Amino acid sequence: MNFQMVVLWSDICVALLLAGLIGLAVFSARRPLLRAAWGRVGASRPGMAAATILVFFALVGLLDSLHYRPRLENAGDGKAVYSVEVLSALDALASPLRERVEKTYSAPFAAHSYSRESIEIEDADGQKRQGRDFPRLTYGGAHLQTDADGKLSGRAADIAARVLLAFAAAAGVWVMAASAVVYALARRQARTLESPEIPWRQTLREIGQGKTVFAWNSVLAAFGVLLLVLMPLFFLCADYHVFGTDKVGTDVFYQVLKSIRTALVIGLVATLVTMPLALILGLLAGYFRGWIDDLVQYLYTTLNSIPGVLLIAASIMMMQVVIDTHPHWFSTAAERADLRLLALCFILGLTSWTSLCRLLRGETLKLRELEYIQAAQAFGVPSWRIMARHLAPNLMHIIVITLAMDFSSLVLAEAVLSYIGIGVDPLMISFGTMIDNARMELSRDPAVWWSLSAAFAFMLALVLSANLLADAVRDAFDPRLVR
Amino acid sequence: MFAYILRRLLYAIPILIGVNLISFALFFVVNTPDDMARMQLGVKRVTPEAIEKWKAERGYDKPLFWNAGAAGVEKATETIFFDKSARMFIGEFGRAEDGRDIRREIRTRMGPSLAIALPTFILGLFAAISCALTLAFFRATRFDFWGVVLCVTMMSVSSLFYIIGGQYLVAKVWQWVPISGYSGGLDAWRFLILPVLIGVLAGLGSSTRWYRTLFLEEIAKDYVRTARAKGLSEALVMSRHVLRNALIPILTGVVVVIPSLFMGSLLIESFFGIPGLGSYTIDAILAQDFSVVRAMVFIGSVLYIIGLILTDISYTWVDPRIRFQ
Amino acid sequence: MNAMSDSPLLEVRELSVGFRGEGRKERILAAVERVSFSVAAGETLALLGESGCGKSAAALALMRLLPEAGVLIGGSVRFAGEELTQLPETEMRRHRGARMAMIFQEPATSLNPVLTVGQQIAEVLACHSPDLGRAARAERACELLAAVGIADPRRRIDEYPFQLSGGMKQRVMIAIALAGDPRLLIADEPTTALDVTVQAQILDLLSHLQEERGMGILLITHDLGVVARMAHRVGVMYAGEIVEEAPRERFFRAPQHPYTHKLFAALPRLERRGQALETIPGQVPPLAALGAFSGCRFAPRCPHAASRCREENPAWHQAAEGHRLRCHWVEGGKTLSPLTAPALRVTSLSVGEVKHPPLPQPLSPGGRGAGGEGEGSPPTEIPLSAPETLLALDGLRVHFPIHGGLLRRKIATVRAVDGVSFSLERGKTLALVGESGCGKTTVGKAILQLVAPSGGSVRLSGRELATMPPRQLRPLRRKMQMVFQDPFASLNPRLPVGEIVAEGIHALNPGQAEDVDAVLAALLEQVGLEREALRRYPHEFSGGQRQRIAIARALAVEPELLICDEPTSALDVSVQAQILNLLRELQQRLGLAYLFITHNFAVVEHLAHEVAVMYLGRIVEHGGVAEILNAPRHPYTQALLSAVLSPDDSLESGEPQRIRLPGETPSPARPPTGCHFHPRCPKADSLCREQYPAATIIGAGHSVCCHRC
Repeated sequence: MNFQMVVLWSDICVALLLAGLIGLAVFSARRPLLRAAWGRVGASRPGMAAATILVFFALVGLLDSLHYRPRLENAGDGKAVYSVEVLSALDALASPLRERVEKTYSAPFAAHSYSRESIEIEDADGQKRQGRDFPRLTYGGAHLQTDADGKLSGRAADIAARVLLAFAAAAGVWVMAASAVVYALARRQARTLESPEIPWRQTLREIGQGKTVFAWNSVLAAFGVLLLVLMPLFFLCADYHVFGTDKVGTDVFYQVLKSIRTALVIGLVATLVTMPLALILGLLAGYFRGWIDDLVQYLYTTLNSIPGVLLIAASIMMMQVVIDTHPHWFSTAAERADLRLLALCFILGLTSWTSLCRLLRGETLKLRELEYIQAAQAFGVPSWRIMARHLAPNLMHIIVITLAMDFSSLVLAEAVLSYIGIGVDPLMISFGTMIDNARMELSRDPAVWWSLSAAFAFMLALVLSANLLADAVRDAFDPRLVR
Repeated sequence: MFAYILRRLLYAIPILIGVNLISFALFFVVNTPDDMARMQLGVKRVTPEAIEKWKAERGYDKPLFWNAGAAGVEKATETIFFDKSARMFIGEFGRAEDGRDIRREIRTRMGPSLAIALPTFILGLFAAISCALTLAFFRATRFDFWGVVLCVTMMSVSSLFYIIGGQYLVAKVWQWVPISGYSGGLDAWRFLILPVLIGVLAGLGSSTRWYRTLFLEEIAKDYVRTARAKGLSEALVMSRHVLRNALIPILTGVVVVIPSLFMGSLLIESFFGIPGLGSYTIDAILAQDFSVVRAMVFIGSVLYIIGLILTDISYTWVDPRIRFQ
Repeated sequence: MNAMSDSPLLEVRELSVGFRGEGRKERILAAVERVSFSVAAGETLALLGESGCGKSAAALALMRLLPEAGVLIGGSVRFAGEELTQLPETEMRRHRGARMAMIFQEPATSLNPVLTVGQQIAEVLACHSPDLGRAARAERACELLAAVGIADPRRRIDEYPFQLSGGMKQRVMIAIALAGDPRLLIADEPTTALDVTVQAQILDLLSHLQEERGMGILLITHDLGVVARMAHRVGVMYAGEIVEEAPRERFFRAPQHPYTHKLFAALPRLERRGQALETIPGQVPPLAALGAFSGCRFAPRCPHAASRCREENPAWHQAAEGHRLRCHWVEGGKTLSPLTAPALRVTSLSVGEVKHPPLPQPLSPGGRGAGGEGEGSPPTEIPLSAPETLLALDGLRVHFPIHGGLLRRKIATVRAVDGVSFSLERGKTLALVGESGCGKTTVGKAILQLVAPSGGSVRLSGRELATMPPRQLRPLRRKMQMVFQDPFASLNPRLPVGEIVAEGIHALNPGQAEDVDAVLAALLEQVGLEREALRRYPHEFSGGQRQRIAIARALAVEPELLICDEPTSALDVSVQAQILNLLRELQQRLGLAYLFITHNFAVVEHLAHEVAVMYLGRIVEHGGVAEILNAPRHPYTQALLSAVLSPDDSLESGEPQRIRLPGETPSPARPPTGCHFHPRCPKADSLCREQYPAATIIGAGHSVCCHRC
C-alpha cells in the first residue's frame, strides 16, 4: 500500500448524506405521491438544467471527500511512514494543478509573473547583467517560445488551437451522451408500444421540442454548456494557469475546485443537525401543545433573539479556543480544519433550526385537527405512532422545500462568515477564504481581478443552480401550488 | 390590548435571562478563563503568573457561580456570573481589551450605524415593494418571468461581491465617491450614498421575490374577485385591495428588524470604514475581544425582543381583526 | 313579470369556457360547452347542477371574471342587446357592478377584511356614480344597508366584516351588488355556506329585492329546494352542458331528462322511509375526461342509454312550450313515468298540521341494494330479545376555557355542550340535529373521548367512559367508531387505502394479524368497493368513494355504535343517496346503532328513529321521528322545519305559512340569559328571559324544553 486511507468526520457526514439521499430516493419511489412530486421536479426545465450543473459540483465534492495520506518515499527501514499531508482523490487527479506553484500572482494565461523581479538578462552582445523585469513563470506557458526581442510568440494561436480541440472533444462527448439518451428512450418507447420498430426520429423530435415528460432537452442543453466551459479549461489547464495564480502562486482553478466541497459540506451537513431537531421539537410542540409547546417556543424565541452572526461568532471563537488548547487531539492539520468545518456546520444548524421548527409546529397544529388524526385517536393509536405515521409524512414537503431553500443561503453565509474570520479554518480552501484573501487585491495596480472573479463565477453557478432547483422543488411539493 | 402588551413585556424577562445564560455558558463554561488567558497572551508569554495577572485585571479570578469563600450576599455577587452577566441588565458592559468603556463606545458609534442602516432599510423596503407590485401587476407575462429570473440571480450573488464590485466600480474606476471613510454633519452623504445603494441592491432580489409571492397569494383571494366584480380598474384593485392586505404580513415582518438597525451592518461598515457598531463588532471578533462580543450579544437580543413587541403592536395597528379583539 | 320584450336582458348563445391544463402542452379543458340561455328582466333563471358541472365557470364568464387559468373559448353574451365578449376591458368595467352585479358563495372570504363595510360599498358608488360627494356616498351606503335588512346601519357602516355574522356578511355583499343599481344579479350559490334559518332570510330578501327593482336574477345552485323557492325557469347542467330547460311548474311536475328525473328520485324524503333511495351509479365525470365524450355525457350513468347515446350528442328537443331537453331516448318518443307522485307529496314540514295526506308512492325499479322490504317499515327490524340501551349520556358537558388578560387566566368559557342527556338503543338511529355552532359535533367527539368532557356521564353498555383511564378505554374503542364529515380530510393522503382501513385492526387487535388481507377485502366489498382499491391512494377516489373507505375503516373493528358526523354534507345529491343507502343497509345487516349528526332534516327523515334538536349546547326537543317531523313543539324546531326548502313547495298553491327566525345563533361563549332561544323566539315572554325551561314530557318519548309549549 502506498497510501493510507483517512476518514475525516466530514467524510462520514458526506457518506451519511449520500445514504440519506439514496434512502429518500428509494422511499419516494415506493410512495406514489412523492414519486409524482419528484416527477414534477423532473418535468421542470430550469430545475433539471440546474440539477445537471449541480451533479457536476456534487461529483467534484465527492471526489474531494475520499481522503488518504500518501506514503513517504524515504522511509528506509521498511516501516511505512505516511505524509502528514492529507490528500483527496481530487488532489490526486489534479496533482499537476496542485503541485505547479509559482512564486506569486500571475494573470490568467500569463507566461510572465505579475510583479517585476531582479533577474539576469542576457544582452544582445551575450553579456549578462542584472535588471528588473517580469520573469517567466516556472510552469504557466512554459512551453511557449520567446522570439528574438523577448516577446512571446504564438500564445494566442496555441490557446485557440487547444480551445478548438476542446470544442471538438466536447461535441464528441455530447453527441455520444445525447445518442445514448435517445437510444434508451426510443427503446423504452418501442417496448411500451410493443412495436418492432424503434421510433428514433420521433424520439429525437420529442426531445428537441421539449415534449418528453422528463426535461431531457434542458438536461442535454445544460450538459452541453457544461462541456463547452469545462473542456477548454481541461485542455488548457495542463499548461496554463487558466484562472491565474494567487499571492503565494497557487493555481486559482485548483482553489476553486477545492472550494466546491467546502461549500457543499456547509450547505448540506448543517441540515443533519437542523432536520431532526426541528422535526422532533416541532412535532412535539404542535401535537401535545400545552407546556411542551411553551417550552419549545421559549427555546426558539431565545435562540432567535441572539443575533445569528454573533452567536456563530461566539461559538466559533469558543470552539477555536478548545481546538487551540487541545492540539494533541489532531494528528494532522487537515483533521483540525475538518473539525472546525464540522463545528461550523453544527453551529449553523443550531442557529437555523428555529425557522423550520416554527413552520413544522404551525403545520402540525393545523394537521392535528384534521379528521384522519382524530380517526386514529378514536382507535386509540398511541401518540408516537400518530406522529410517525400520520404527521411526519405529511410534513415531508415542508422539510424538503426548506432544506432545498436553505442550501444556497448556507453557502452564501459561509462566504460572509469566512470573510469575517469566523468561518472555516483559514487554511481550508473555500469561497469565503478565497474572497477574504483577495479582499485587498482589487486596490492593487493593476488590479488583481482573477481570484475574485473565479470565486464569483463558480459561486454564482453553484448558488444559482441550487436556487433554481429549490424553486422547482418548491413548485412541485407545495400542496397549495399543486392543487 | 394593554394587558396583551404588558404580557409580552413580561415574557421578555425569561427570554433575556435565557440569552444571558446561553452566552455565559458559551463564554465561561465551555472554556475556563485560564484557557482564554492562554490564548490571549499567546504561547510565548504563558506563565502561571501572567495568567493570574491577566485574570485579575479583568475580574476573571472569581468563582463562576458561587463564591463559597465570601460572606452573605457576596456569595452570589462576588462571582464572574454576577459581574459579567447579571450586570448587563443595568447596562454595565465593562471594558474592552483596549481598556475603553464599552458603553461609551456603543453610544458614540450608534449614530453612524443608524445613518447607514435606516436609509438602507427604508429605501430597500420601498424599492422591493414597488418592484414586487410591478411584477405582480404583470403576472404570468414574459416581463414577470424574466423579473423573477433576475431576482433569483440577484439573490444568488453573495453580498460580498455587491460590496467589492460596487466599491471597485463606483469609487475606484469611476471615482464618483470616496472609497471609504466617514465624517459627521451634512458632509456625510458623500460617504453614505454608495454603502446605502449597495445595501439596497444586495437585498432587493430576495425581498422582491418574497413580496411578489405575498401579492400573488392575495390576488388569488375571493375578495379580489369581489373587487373586480364591482367594476374597479385593475390599478385600483391592486392599490386599494391587494396592496393593503399584503402590507400586513410585509410590515409586521419587517418591524422586527427596526430596533436591530442600531446594530448596523457588519460587512458594509467594515468595507467602507464607517465607525459604527457593525465594524466595532467585527473588529472585536477579529481581535477576539470577548467582552465586546458578549455585550453585543446582549444588546442584540434586547433589540430583537423590542422588535418582537413592536411587531405585536404593529399587528394591532394595521389589522382591524386584531385591533378590535 | 316585467315585459318580456323581444330581446331579453341577458342572452347567452353557445358559450364555451375552458381551463388551461397543467404541463407544457397548452391543453385547454372545456368546462362549459356551447351553453345557451337567457334571462328576462324581473325573471329568475336557476342553473341547477352538481359540483364540477361548470355552472360557476359559466357565471364568471358572463362577467368576464374567470380566474387566470380560465379561457373564454367562444360564444356570445348579449346584455341588453350589447355584445359583451368583444368589449374592451375598460368598457366591460362599466358594466360590472353597475348594470350587472354578482354575489358569491362564501361571504366570509368575499369581503375585504381590512376595509369597513361602508368603504366597500362607497367604492362601488365612487366608481359608477362619480358625481356623488363623499357625504352623499355615505348616506347612500346607509340606505343600501337598510334596504338589505341590516338594523342600525349607521353603526354597522363603520364596522369590519369580521364583526358581522355570516348572514349579515351576505347581506352586505348584496348591498354592494345593489350599489350600482344593477339590472341583472348573478347569485352564485348565495346561501350554500349559511344555516337553514339564515338561508331562508337571505332568499326572502332576494325575492323581495327582485320584486322591488325588477332585476333579472341568474341563480346558480345545486339545491332543488332553493330552485323551488326562487326560480321562474330552470336550466339543468350536467358535465358542462345544459341538458334540460323548463319553466318551473313544468320542471317540477314533469321533468323529462333521465338525469333530472334521477336527481328528484335521489332526494331523501319522509315517505320513502324504509326503502332504499334511488341512486345514480358512478359520479360526475371529471373535467379532464370531458374531452373524450362524443355522445351524451350522461350516457355512462343513464339507465336508458343505448348505443346511439354513446356516439352522438343529442340535439335540442322541444317537449312543450318553453320546455326543451337533450336526450335521444325522450326524442325517440319515450317518456318517463311522471314524477308527480313523489313530487306532489306535500310536505308535512309546515308547522303542526298535515295539509295533504301522503300519497302512496310507487317506487321506480332499479334502486340499488334495495331488498324487498315492505313499504313504510322502519329501517331495521333486527330481532332483538329486548331493546337494550347501548349508549347513555347524562348531563354531558364540554366547556372550553378562553384565556386572556395578563396571566392568561381563564376569563370566559365556551359552553359548547352544556348538559346533554339521551340514550340510544342497540340497532337504532338517533339523529342529532342543529345549526352550525350548536355543539352537535362536540357531543360526538366527547362520546369517543376525543375531547375530554367537563362533566356528566357517558355510558357505553353500562360502563362509564368519562372517567376511565386511557388504558382501560382502549378495548372499548372497538365498540364505537366515527365517520367524519369531510371525506377529503378524513383519510391520510400519504397512506394506501389498505393501511388506512387496517389502522384499527392493528391498533386494537394486535393479535389477530394472520389474515388481514382477506378481512380488508371483505370490508371493502361490504362498502361496495373493489379489492384493488387496497393498494391505491385516497386521491384516486371521488368524495363518495372516500366516504365508503372511511366507513370501511370504522367497520374494521366491528363496532356496535357508529357516530356519523354529517357524512353526506360534502357530497352531491346523487352520491349522498348512495351513502345513505349503504348506511341503512349496514344497519340492517350488522345491527349497528347510529348517532347521526346532521343539519339536514331531509336526511333525518330518511334514516332516523329518534330525533334530538340542539340549540346552543343543549337539546331543546327530543322525540320519535314522526312526532318531531309532524308535530314539532319547540318554536326552534318548528322554525327549522319551516325553513327547510323542499322541491315540493313549488307545487303548493300559495305561499305556505313560514316561520322566519330573526337574527342568528349567538356565541356559545355568551349565551343569552334564561331560555337561550328567547331573543329569536316569536313566543318569548318575561319568564323565558329569566329562566331556562326544564324538560317537559309531552308524549311517549317526546320531551321539550319550553315554557310556552
